[in-house]
Amino acid sequence: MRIRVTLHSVLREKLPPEAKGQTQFVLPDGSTLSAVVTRLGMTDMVYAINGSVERNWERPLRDTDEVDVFVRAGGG
Amino acid sequence: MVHSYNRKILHVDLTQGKTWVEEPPEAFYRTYGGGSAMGLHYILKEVPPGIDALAPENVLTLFAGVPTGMPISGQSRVMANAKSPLTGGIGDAQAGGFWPAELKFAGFDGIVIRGKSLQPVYLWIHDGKAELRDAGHLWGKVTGEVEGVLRKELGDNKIQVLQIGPAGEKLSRIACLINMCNRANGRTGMGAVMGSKNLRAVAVRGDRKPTAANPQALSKLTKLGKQNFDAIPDVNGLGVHGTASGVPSQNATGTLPTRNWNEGQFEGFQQISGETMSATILKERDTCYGCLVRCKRVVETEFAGTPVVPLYGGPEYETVSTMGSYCGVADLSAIALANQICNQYGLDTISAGATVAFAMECFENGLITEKDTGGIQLRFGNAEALVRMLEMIGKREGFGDLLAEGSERAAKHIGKHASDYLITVKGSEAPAHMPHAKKSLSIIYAVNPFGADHQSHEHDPYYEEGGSPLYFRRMAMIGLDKPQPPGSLNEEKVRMTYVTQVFFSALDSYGLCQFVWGPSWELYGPDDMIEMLRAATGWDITLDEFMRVGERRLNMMRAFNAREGLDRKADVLPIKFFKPLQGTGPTAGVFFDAKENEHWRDVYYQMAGWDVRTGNPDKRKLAALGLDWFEL
Repeated sequence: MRIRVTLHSVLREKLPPEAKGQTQFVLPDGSTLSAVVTRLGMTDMVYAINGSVERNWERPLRDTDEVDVFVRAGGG
Repeated sequence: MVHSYNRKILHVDLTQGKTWVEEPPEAFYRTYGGGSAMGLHYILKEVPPGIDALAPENVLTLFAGVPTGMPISGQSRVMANAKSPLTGGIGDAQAGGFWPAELKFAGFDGIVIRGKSLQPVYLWIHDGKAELRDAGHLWGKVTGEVEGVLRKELGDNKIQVLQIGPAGEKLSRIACLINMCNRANGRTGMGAVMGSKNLRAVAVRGDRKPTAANPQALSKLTKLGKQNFDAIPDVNGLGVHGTASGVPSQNATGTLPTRNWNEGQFEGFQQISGETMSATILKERDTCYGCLVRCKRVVETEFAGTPVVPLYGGPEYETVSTMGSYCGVADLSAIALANQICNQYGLDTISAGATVAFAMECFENGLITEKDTGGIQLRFGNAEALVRMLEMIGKREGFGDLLAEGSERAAKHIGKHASDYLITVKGSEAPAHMPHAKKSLSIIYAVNPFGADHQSHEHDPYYEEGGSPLYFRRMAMIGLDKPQPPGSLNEEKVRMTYVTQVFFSALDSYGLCQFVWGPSWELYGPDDMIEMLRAATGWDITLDEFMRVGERRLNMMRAFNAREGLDRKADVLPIKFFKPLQGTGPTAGVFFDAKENEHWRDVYYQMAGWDVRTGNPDKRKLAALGLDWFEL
């Protein structure tokens, strides 16, 4: 299945500038969010699936799901 | 020899037209750390009980911190305190910029302002001297004009000006203090207090830079700061894309207040994010004195034919949210103009945006009509109506005259069930962080002495399992070593709330920026901070001493409130928090239970060592903090 991954704020600098923070992962059916986390190697970040934050990294993904990755937001 | 501070406090009696200088002993500085706690010392000693906050008897204090002006990031802060005309309790607001450091260079650590001048005046402080000058020619002008006039007539373009705008002159209870035309001591109506004294501005200039006890140690910390800035994504994002870089994650978490807190996700979040600002209207990044983070924005754009100019800076996260999602507005240029109007007229962007959002909900539900608003369709999402209404608030024209009093007083005037739409605690409008997913905010918003505030503790997601090992190591330095399950609220989370509140209270005493010095994601951790304070002052200060100062300040504020008749009955969350949140996302349907909130507040009061029946410190508690001189 294909998962679109968007890195926000300064995390987007981990991808080439022309990617504008977006990439696509092809993952085996039955993969969970943890597959995206492992592939990015970013365990300290906040992950969202289809626009809503997801704390359970064992949540199964579905084809065309969109994953967003954020730094944590405190005050300010 | 003292290092990092002047040992000089400027006293001003506007009624008498007199100024004089006090030179307190080192022990006084050690007791308070400067900043807010030092200002509160004078307020608690001198403000008579039960006065009108806009009466001459109120005392306004402007204090820098002990390390303000040192060559290191995150130290140029000014803390404003007085009795608040918005809450009736203690008022408190902080700002950065270059004014705080310049005050130190002009020879003073703080200013205590009493009385009321018969005519408008401004205070000119330079090279260890102070004088009151006529300000009749400044009255009625917007901040940018006043700054220009003062620099011209005093003959120096490097003069820093802290001032009120026309909103403060007209005693709006949501008026703020502005320096550099774009840095605000925003909250709790400090601008109205300064306006009530007929004091328009405080101009400062000097070249008396205080020395550091150990400059080499400060230089070493600066190098560490540069490394940390590249290594810590949270603070890096704040610098590169500004505080509004948090918009997308707030939205995904369901904590982006939308349409007056009816929802936690905003369909227009991408249009108003920090990344979008960087890609569209951002002209440059700006900074406070000596800071490498450079989180401040400078924008240039136009909205509805009105130019938005760089002089007034650019919107912060709070402004983007309160003028944006809070009001249902997804136009970044309109938000930038809203920010400019607030900075021109001297309005707190949080209270102003939230008050317009409140009025929008009243309009949507027929509690007010076009007859009230002077023909303005004050609906959610109407960007033109937002900027028009802000201008009317700044000038106190038409319906803006009522909203200039803040949403709680406006609700009383509107009547019916308008108070159901308030998002206030102690009369102060809540900032744009929602407790529905950040549960510790449900405690701090209620108990904070000057109303709902987002910068009075560390938000609990930083103390949740799965977080960063670096942040956990830092938290452990202040005894917080048991990260909790995500989304939980329990005794350990309440402990975290109280302990970090004490920590942040100390930051506001020593005058340290909460993006640079903090207990988790910030540029520096608690160990670096103590090293910095030692290097600046030469004191053998410890983390325990630092926390003690924070506890002292918190108790001073709560004790002031107790004397003014505020107790735990004032620690109440807005009615809306107890109803299910609408909209989409992880917080849809989430609400708070009043009994449960009361229970966690009991736990908090106990941890603070306060009387659970009143929620306030007693004489014994105050004595333990060296505050036995204060009559409760």
